[in-house]
Amino acid sequence: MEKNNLLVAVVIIVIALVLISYPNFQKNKGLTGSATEILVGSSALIANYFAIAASNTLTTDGIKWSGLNPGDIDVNAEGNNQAGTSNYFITVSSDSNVNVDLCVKASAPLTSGLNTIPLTDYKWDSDIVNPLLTSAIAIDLAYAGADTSIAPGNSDYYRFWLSVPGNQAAGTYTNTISFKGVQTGNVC
Amino acid sequence: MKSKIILFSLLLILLIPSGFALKGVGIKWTSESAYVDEKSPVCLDYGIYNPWDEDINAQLGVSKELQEVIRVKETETVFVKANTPNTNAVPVKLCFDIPKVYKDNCLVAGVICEQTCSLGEVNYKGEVIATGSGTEVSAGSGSTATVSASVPLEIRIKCNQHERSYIVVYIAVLIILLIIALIFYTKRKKM
Repeated sequence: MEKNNLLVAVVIIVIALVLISYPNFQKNKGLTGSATEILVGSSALIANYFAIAASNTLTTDGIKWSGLNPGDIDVNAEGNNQAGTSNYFITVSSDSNVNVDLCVKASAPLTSGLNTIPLTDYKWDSDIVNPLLTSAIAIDLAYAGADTSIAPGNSDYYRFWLSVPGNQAAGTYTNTISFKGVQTGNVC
Repeated sequence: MKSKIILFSLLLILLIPSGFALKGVGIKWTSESAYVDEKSPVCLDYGIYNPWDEDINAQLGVSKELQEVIRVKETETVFVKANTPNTNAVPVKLCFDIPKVYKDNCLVAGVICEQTCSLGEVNYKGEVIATGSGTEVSAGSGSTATVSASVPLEIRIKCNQHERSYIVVYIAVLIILLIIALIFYTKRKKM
């Protein structure tokens, strides 16, 4: 009688094991014959690089206006140097192997405590020679394209103008202007 | 005569406009895309160089679009000496974790799952940005300026297709059968 019980238990276990291994049998179908092959690695490394820099006036003085009055319109930033070449420029290093597109944005409106000067009053233009107020646009919080395809060794010049609303509160207004370089063809 | 030349050179240096000194950052890259597994750590190699006049501290980061999907591990700030050419770029690793992107179709919560990859592979596009150290804050009204160099990065996440796995069911059946066998065996033994 005990022998029969043991037999039943063994049969159940065998069935269970078959059930478990069934999916593995299915997966191992399709063994192939013998073959020889030689695998050889092949690779090619392409490195791109570029460097950009801001002029000393941009990095040490920033874009500055002094002695502004409420109601002033399109006042030149101190480094605009209308008489000659602007002191605000971004240079693409000659140690670059791609052309560069430049992009500009503001971190926020010019702010002094709770007061701000709207971004629409902060205008800029870029040019590889002479940026002009007539083609200036308002700066934005998102990157906007400046000049494109600046070749290694060349510079892109910038000028900035600020208007002050008539009822603007007195204060020292500040923000940050970001210049970004991307390989030509990429979006800002 | 010599002293006159030296004096003249010194005068020239002093007369050079301040706008001629440059401060910036350079980036060197060897890939613009990565094909990666979900739920895995990934590291990409970049180089930061500085062919300009002033030493910088630079850091790598990713744009907002990528920040929303990948968890970037903190990147080290590296010191890059002035006049460092691209051939001596300081290597920087950008490491991040890829989250679980593809939702499995499971019969029971979390088990007996399949992945058909019917929606195709997911990819994310963004930028890797090298930023130089901050600029000095100027006095008076106006803006400070920052400079960065950015390169594109596309991350495509592999979808590993798999059929529904019944292994859990088989194990459960085995355990139940063993319990039944054990109960049956012990009852018979008592009789």
